[in-house]
Order: sequence, then C-alpha cells, then structure tokens
Amino acid sequence: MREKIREFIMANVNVDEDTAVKDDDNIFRLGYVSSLFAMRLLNFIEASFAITVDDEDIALVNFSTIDAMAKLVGKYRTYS
Amino acid sequence: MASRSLHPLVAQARAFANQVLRPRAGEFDAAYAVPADVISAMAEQGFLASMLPVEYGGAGLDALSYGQLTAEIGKGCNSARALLTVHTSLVGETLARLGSPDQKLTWLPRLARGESIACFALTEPETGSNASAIKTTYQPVTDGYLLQGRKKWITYGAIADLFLVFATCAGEMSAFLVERGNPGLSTHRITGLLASRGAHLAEIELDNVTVPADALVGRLGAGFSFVANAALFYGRYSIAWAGVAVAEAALEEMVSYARRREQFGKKLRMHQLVQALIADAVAGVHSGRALCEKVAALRDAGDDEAINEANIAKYVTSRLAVKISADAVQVLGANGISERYPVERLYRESKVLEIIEGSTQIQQMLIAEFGIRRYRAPATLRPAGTPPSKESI
Repeated sequence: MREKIREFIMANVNVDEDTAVKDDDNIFRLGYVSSLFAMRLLNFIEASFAITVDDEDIALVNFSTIDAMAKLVGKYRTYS
Repeated sequence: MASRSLHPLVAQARAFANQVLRPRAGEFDAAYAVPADVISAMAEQGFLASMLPVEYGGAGLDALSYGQLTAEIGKGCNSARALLTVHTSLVGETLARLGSPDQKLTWLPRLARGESIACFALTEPETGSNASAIKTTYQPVTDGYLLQGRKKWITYGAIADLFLVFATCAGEMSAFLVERGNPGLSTHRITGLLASRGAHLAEIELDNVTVPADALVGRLGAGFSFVANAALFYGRYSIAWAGVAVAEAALEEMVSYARRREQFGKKLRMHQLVQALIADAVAGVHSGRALCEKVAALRDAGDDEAINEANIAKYVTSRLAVKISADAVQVLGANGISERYPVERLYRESKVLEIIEGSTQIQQMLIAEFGIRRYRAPATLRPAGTPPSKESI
C-alpha cells in the first residue's frame, strides 16, 4: 500500500531524480506539492483502494504523509 | 465518441438553445440579465439538475453528457451557460462531493429543481488568481461562525439564494453556506462589463454575518485544499466546454455569412484566405471538443488524471474561443463589429473564458508543472545515484 502511494506521489512531484520521499515526510510542508494536489490525492486514494472517505476525514493532515494516508486507508479497510 | 447517441437531455438543451436562447442572447446582453422566466424554464427542463446525483433529485448525467449539455446551452447564450457553471458545477457538484449528509439532503434537491439559485463566492476586490490570500475572515462564535468581508465578480450573485463563501481564520481557509436574507449579507449588481453582462455579476458584502455551525462545508481549514480545489476542477471542466461552445457558435456564424456574402463577384466562401480562417476554426473546434471528450472519459472512469487534462482543455478551448470569434468578426468585416450580428458578442464573451476558473497564465503554470514531471526523455529516468552516461549529456 505504501509503495503504491509513494509511486503515485513520485509521479506527481517536481523533484530531482535522486530525491526520495520518506514515509513521514510532509509533502506539502516540504514544498514537493502544493495544496492543489490535495484533491488528486483524495481521488487517487478512493479509486486505488476502493474506499469512500467520509467528509470528516477529508483534511490535509490525513494526506500530508505516506504514513497518514496508509493509516487512513487502513481505517476504512477495517470498516469494510 | 461523436457516434454515441446524445442523451435526451442534451438533445433537449440543443432545442432549447436554438429556440429560446440563441434568438434572445443579444437581448439578455443588452438588458444585463438572463430573465427569471428563462432561468425557470432551464430549471423546468431539468438542465440545472443535470449533473447532480439522482438520489437528490438530479438527472445523474455522465460527465460527457453534462459537457455536451453545457456546450449546447453555451452556444445559445454564454450568460445562461454561466448559470450551469456556478450553480450546478461549482456549488452543486462540490456539495455532492464534499457536503455533509444534511447539506446534501437540504440543498441538492432545491438546487436540482432551481428553487434556490447558488453562486460561488471566492474572488475578492483585491484577490483573484492568488485565491489563498483572500481577506474575508471568519471567527468561531457560540453555535456558529461570524463572517466579515467583501466578494467581487460573483457570477449570479445578484439573484442567488445560496452563497458558497470562502473565508480565513488564523491562516486557514474554510467554506460556508450562506443564505440570502441572512442579516448583514447584501449584494450589489455590477454593470459596465465587457462580457458576462447577462450573468447577474455582483459584489457581495458580508457585514458581521452569523452562520450556524452546520453551514461549514467540509472540515475547518479544508476550504482551499479540498473545497475550492474541487469546485474549481468542476468549474474548469465546465469552462472548457464553454470554450467549445463559443468557438463553435462563432464558426457557425462565420460559415453562414461566408456562404451568402459576395465580394469581388463571388461568395466569401470561395476566397481562399477566408477558407483558411474557416479551416483553422474547424480544426480548432474539433481539437477542442476532442480534449473535452478526453477529460469526460477520464472523469467517467474515475481517473484522477482528469484534473490535469481539464486544465489543458480549459486553457486550449478558452484561447480557441478568442481566436475563432476574432476571426469570425474578421470574416464579417464591418458587420462583425455591429450588435446586429452575434459575433461581436461572442468575441466579447470569449475573453472572459481566459480569465475565470483559473486564468490562462495560471493554467500555463499548472500545465508546465505537469509537463516537467511527465515529459522526461528516458535517459533522465536513471536510478537514483547513477551518473548520467556520456551519450545522455
């Protein structure tokens, strides 16, 4: 799951080839992406992991790191 | 895709545009208003409900059909199309995507029936493209929020019943639903416009407006990152089709005139330099429509690439609309600058498409970022830490 998320992020960030995104890197704070990318992350997470994120969980904090997104996906998979 | 049969609502929109909108678009433009009876007719025909979910009274159209419907209405009247963009796309689709269950239940059926007209209140007198820098504020108060500030250039703001308002608090943006009649909210119609004259543009004053806690759309602080961005994606998709609409309407006017007007002893259509303009316009309309259809297919497939492609489609079709409508004015010559012919209005209307829902320059920035990620030659895709080969330098 984390690798799938990482792969999506790496395909959508403008960083040098030797930059690696760690699981706890805040991709917004580090400037890898702008907040315009948030909706794409939400769409990607929902489509790729076949979940629907409730409106109360649609907050930047849940999409800022690979760890946070993995935790979010895990929460909904537990429910299903 | 062109061979796919049209959704009945799209065919209905085409008939409505040809019978009601196109003959009267100049009148709406001069009167600075798409009249109430036309808005009611659009609601009764089901156009305002088109893209909204069936469970909330919408028609549940697929993205392609909604785009085609938008283009049909836009060919008839750009200001009537603007109602679809703000009411159905920017507010309706956003509420369907990010609204709370109660907000969906309360507002979507009303929006679908046209009982309430909705508008999108993000832009301010001093804040346009840099939307995250808005100055309208909110403060949490007992049982709700207190809003203070001004919005400007709000399409359909002069007659809207529901306002999706963006405001900041301590650097975080949030979105709120504000109803007309709320004490402290007032709207002031904007006139003296180049374009969008019929689209009821307004400046909105929020003078200590209190809204209940359940007026918040999405979570606190999610106003820009999710709510505004989702809305602007839906809006860009709509404007991309609006560009096709204006371009195609201008092409039709250009060709119709060239078929009947004679100069130098032969019809304009026989002159090769006029044919060059027609050829460019045809190629432009077809390519613009193809881009929009691509975005529609991605949306219908749930593919997040739709966001990048919508930026490209909006960028291309808005510029095409300006170019093709300018060429239509050129083909009509002196008649092209007369209000007795539609092309002068189409030319004026085209320009606003390059400004709204992310200007041409904002789209260029976004498309460049996308291109810098996407279009690297294979030699640069080497594993981290591997030096480039001599051949690739």
